[in-house]
Amino acid sequence: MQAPELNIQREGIIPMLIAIQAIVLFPLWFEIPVWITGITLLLLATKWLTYKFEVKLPSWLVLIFVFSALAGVFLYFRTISGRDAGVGLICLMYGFKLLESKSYRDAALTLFISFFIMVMAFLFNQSIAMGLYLLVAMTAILSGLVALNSIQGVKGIKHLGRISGVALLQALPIMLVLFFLFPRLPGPLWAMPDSSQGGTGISDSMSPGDIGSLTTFDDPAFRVKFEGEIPSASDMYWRGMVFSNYDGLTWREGARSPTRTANIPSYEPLYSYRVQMEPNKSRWLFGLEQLAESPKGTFLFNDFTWRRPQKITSQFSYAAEAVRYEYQGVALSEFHRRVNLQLPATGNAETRQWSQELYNQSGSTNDFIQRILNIINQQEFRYTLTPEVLEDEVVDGFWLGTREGFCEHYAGAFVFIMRAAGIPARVVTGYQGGEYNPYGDFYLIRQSDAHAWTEVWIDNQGWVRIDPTAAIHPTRVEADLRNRANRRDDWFSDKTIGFDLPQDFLQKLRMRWDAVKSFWDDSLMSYGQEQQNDWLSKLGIRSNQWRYLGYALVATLLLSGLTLGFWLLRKSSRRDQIEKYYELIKAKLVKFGVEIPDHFGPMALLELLSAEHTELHKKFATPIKYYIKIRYQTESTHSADNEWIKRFKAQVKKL
Amino acid sequence: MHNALTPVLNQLNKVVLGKSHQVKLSVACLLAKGHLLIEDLPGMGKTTLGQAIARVFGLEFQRIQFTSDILPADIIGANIYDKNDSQFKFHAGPIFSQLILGDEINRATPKAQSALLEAMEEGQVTVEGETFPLPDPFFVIATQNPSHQVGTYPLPESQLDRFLFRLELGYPDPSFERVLLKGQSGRQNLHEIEPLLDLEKLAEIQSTVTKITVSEHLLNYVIGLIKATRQSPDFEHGLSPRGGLALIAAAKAWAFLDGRDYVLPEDIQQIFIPTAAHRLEFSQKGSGSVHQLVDELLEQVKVPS
Repeated sequence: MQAPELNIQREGIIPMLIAIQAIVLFPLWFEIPVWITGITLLLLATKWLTYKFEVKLPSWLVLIFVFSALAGVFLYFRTISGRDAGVGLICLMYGFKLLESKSYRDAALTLFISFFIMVMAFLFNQSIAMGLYLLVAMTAILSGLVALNSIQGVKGIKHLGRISGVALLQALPIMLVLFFLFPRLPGPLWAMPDSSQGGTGISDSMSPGDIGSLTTFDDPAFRVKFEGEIPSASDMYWRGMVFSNYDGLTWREGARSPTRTANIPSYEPLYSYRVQMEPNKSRWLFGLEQLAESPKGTFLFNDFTWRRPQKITSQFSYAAEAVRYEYQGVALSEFHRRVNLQLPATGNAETRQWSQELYNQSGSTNDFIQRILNIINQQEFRYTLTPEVLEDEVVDGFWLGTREGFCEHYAGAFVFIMRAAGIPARVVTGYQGGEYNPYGDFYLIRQSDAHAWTEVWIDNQGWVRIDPTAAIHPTRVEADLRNRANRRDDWFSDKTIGFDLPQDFLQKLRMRWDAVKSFWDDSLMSYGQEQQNDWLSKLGIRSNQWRYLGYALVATLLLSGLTLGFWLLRKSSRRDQIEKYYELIKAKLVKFGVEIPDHFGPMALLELLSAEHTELHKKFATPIKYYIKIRYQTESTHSADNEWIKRFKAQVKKL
Repeated sequence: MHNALTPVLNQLNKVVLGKSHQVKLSVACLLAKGHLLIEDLPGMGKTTLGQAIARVFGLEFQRIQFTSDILPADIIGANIYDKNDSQFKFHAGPIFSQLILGDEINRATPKAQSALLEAMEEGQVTVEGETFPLPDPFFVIATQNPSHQVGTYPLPESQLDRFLFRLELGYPDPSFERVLLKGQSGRQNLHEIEPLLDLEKLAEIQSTVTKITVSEHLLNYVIGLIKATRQSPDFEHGLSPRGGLALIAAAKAWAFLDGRDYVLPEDIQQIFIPTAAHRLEFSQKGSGSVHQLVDELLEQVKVPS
């Protein structure tokens, strides 16, 4: 029960609640539909006006507003559940709750709801800035609670801030324990399934222009940390998807299925690494070629790609290994041969013919491939992100016509030529290269590193990676693309043209910031079941033993509770000790035949002794005087001088 | 600082013979800025005590004799038409004085009583819409006859509450009685009393008294006492929070007079009867005098160790 002084009408309480609501809603205003933002702002203004001019809105009017807002949400979203509709609805109700708040209970309720609504902002944005902002918001809400529950009310922002800051610090150990030990579901808690935002990233098909539009995005795609040996950046081909189905314009994934481990050739591990993926709303994972065993909870498909059953909607991290397959004596199955030789029945006839003629001149498949790469290198093939757009006969138009394009033109044409010559081949998309960050010791792979290359089946060599784009002569690469490509080490392999990026201050700063961001994303935001298990296994707790986790949690909470209890007890036991010692004095006096009535205080006792028991008075006067000092001469026993307490105890023990 | 008060107490004891405890309580009452009610039979020296206190503290003194026909205007003053100035002028009554001795207050009608008591509560007087502040310090010593006597209007509890202490002087000891009967009454000494303190010194002492330490442990005892008054079947109702505050204030003054800067349970016990007795109401079940009952209560409540 609160004291009557704690009511909401006190000066400053309502403006404080309005301010806190504004702070809490601020990040959401940019996420929810504009009309809901408008209404919540309007509600705040109305609350302020009714406070300022002491008007009361009739409750039927508020009720009408509430129902029309509810109807508005339903009509706008066609539902009231799901992230966007839900958040919008909650924001509106939050505003209405404050509007109709007129008692202490209402105010306390809005403040407690604020904690919940505050966290909703995390569903939209999990950046460091948001984390810091929410910390501020949390301090504000706590301060509000302190102000609401203290007699002084909203006085001294500093004072309120200090109290809530201290409370937050006190909660820190519990927070850490819960963060590390609270049993996790797979994936972070704020993964919301039905976001309307599209993800960036490579798409599940490849038509001319797809990757070109990606290469202008500098957004991070994923980060990689190597354990042990690190390949050169030019060898970093991050395999994502494989396209084997061509309809004359678009490359798509062919028939594919999860593979059984028994069906893959033997391999030897090369590099081990850990990938930290940005959410991209897709299901495929990227791995350093070649890919073998899929990370936990994902599947290896028979085109050597990884796939996850759920979309990656939040930070997702996994450990993997790059391997080298041993293809000696391994034959391509009839099914795969058919799939990887598929071409549309008609179209691009000139290139087909060109290919077959060249193949006939070549001595072997390897020779054939080399000849084509030489053609790309020696003839006027250009690398540009703004090639001429071709409507139909795309391969003919590119290979024998414009001769300008970017990776997917080259990869698509190359595979087409291979297949036309009867060599199984396919397009692989993913990312190439990576920028090393020395501060975080990781490689950052950006959307602009998106790339497409090819794989050709050569008997006894298996699937061989051929990157036709890399064959282009560097002088024929657009200047700004060369600069960009510089990050991929000597990707266009000509040492004469150096593109050293200036390692200036800004660059370093950017890398440092990215290292911090990586820690935030990698270690905090994506701390999920897997990381928890890793962490716990270091402590000797095996994965998936939830029971132990529960025990650990309970044990930790119990332990901290006991510690706190012990500490409090110790504090009060100091007081109880003084009581005990004084009782001891009285008991001794009773033994000596002194009758002490209950209502005798220490002074009365002293007077009694000095009047009737002079001998005892000599002995007992000093400890009793110390007792008076401790009990009555200081505000409270806790603030009593420790020296006095010590002397008092010593004196009593001497008796 | 309490040394300054030793001669004061000595002087007073010379005038009011054999009543050193009551004298000390009266001084404590003044130091705690409370008002004093002395209840006793006529001829016990109530007025003498009041006059002696006024003289020794160097306070302006007025005596108001309450009778059954006294009117509020007789106490407070009134607007009277001035012929020369052709306008009404306020003529201050006897209440505008630093120490008021209200004699036999319960002989006046409730209307006159409340005129005094309201002034005591508010520290100011309002006549026809105009407010006049009372002097500072403002200390009231009221006397009353035991209420069972003929021709008295007993003060209601709500008004008794305004007095910090209610004292009974009681009959003097036989030895002092003998001195009195010999004709060497203290009254003669009254005229020899010199003011021993000035207003400034009094204010300083009063502010020192408020700063005296009251420990948490002592509060445990006080709370125990208050709780006992509320739970005892002898009383209709227990001590109010204002009564509790009065206990603390009075105990501080008492501790100061004993030369301490902290309050002991013994201080509370000394001032408990004069502070609490008039604030407690008999219940039907009670037997014996209030003093006896309060005394019993004091003995029942243990001083926490």
